[in-house]
Amino acid sequence: MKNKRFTSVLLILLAIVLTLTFPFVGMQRGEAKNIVKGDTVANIKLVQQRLKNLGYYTYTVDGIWGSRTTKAVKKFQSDYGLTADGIVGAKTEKALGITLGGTSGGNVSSNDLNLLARAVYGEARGEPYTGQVAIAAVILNRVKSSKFPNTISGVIYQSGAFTAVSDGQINLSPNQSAFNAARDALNGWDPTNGCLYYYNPATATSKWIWSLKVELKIGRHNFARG
Amino acid sequence: MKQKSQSFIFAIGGGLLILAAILIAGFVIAANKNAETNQRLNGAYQRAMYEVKDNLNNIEINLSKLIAAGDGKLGVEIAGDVARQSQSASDNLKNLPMDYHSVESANKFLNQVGDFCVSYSRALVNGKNTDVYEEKLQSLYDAAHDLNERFTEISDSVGEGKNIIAELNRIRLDSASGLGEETLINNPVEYPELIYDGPFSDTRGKKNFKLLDELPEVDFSAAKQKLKEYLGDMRLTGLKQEGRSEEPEAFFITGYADGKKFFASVSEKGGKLISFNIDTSVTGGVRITEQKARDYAREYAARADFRDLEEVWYNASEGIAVVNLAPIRNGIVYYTDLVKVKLSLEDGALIGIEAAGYCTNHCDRNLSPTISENTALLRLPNNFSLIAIRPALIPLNNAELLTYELACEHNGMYYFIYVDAVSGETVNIMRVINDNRGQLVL
Repeated sequence: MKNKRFTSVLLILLAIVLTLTFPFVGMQRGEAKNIVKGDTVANIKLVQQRLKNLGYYTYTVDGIWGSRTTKAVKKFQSDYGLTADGIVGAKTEKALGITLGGTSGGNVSSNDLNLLARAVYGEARGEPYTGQVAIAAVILNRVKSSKFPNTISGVIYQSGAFTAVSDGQINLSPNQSAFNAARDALNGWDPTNGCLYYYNPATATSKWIWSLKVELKIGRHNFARG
Repeated sequence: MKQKSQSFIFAIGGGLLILAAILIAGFVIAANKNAETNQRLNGAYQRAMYEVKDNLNNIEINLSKLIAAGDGKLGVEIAGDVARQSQSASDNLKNLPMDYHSVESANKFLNQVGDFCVSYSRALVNGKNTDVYEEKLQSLYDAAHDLNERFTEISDSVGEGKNIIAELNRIRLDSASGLGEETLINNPVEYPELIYDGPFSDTRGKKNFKLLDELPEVDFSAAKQKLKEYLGDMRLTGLKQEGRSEEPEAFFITGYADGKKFFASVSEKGGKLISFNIDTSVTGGVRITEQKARDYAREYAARADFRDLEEVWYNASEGIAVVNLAPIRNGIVYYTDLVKVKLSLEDGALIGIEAAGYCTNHCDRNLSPTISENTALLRLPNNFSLIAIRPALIPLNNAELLTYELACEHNGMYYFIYVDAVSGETVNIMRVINDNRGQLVL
């Protein structure tokens, strides 16, 4: 009898806990409406990444909308003179400097940009930002040169051309800095003024690459025209 | 007791045997998998090698036919086929496990043959003088023949069962690799120098910087001073030379601008700013308007001695705006002479300037379109709606071309169509791609 009563109390308690928890679980999965355009995981990630870059959000970019993300949005909004409601509307989107994708999730993203960003990240993460732009510029200079394949993928995957391809680091997810460096290079930025080669003097083993005249050093890389 | 220890030894022995059997089975499975992967890879390499061989055969035969074809319709067809085969050969070559440096000359030759044949067939179609092309056909044939021989040597050895990777790296395809005498198995292929009207032409050994050519040389200390003037109110500290660019001859300068690391390039002739970049990819949120950003960009360009420029393209993403500026004279936009300014949308601070295009191409020009706007508009495709039309000088291959720029829209997609302002032909089409990191023009 005593046992039975104990079980029913336990069941009731469990029901109360579940009823109270479920809405929050739902909230965490981004089911709450109109917090971010379309409430898509991609858009939530974009907002979280941008807030992280700006120093407002210090947690994992997971595409899940929770109290930490809301708090970060509110702090950003109040710093930028916007209504601190925690909702990313058009004004907050504009102030963040991002463009959120539509509800159809049809973001058009360029293959070349992604691949270039992956190559930059695999080859030069941890390098100064200009050094990352320079790596992307060297790849694009090769595309333009008759001595190399005529596509970005052709240049990047050419046999033995990049260590990031040989050791698989090309498959890592690039960070914002690598994307921005790739975009800058595609926009025409070339800190190397047309160099076709670079190498890390601490690790380069190829004989001929040492015979090239070094024009510029950025971070750990030497750049040469060839 | 003895019995107990005996059965213990049996149990341990049995266990060890089972473990050994599992390890051996695992090893055999892994080795099989490895052999299978190697076999597949080998198959892919062999396919690429035989395709290069086929392409080279076809290029060689077709070039000999092209010598005989003269300037008729057949010449256009054959030249087109050579262009396709060279592209395919170049595509297959890059898939082979050969050091990328050792195939540079072969790749250059294949790219040039294709590009040369495209220009040749264009000249044939347009009824232009083709003497300059026909003179080169024999030397092209000779080089194609030599390259084909090298590949025959490789494919014969592989056919005899030799290792494809070793064979590909044993036989030299060019003389440019500087690998040392010990690798000189046979004479390198001699590739001809090709000068024609195409992007891969050997027209210029060195790039010509029109704006800089006539200007007096400056030393490093004068270049530093110029840089300080160009960047106006930024406080530059710790300036030092980080290298020297040869094309154009320029100082690479690093230092700190308002405490942030920067890289810049200032020409030796005239001390012009070629590029400047603050070492940051992240700025704050957006506090200034688009119009303010555009005004700042023009101001920064003018201070860096790039004056009278108009904004021709604006892109903002992640709190950074990139504004492309170009001279507009008599209504003609000079896209060849671009200056790009990058700034923070948080406070309008300058992040970068890129002016290589301006320094390479800017000069006084006296241009005007031959055909009218209405004639150019005949090239607007059906169902495309026109947004704007204006004359524009664009870079094309190694040259500049005066065109009409047709900004138009079709099914929600935005395009720029460029129509030759003399011949009325469409010469380039660009599409604007929007993605969540901004706009791209492809």
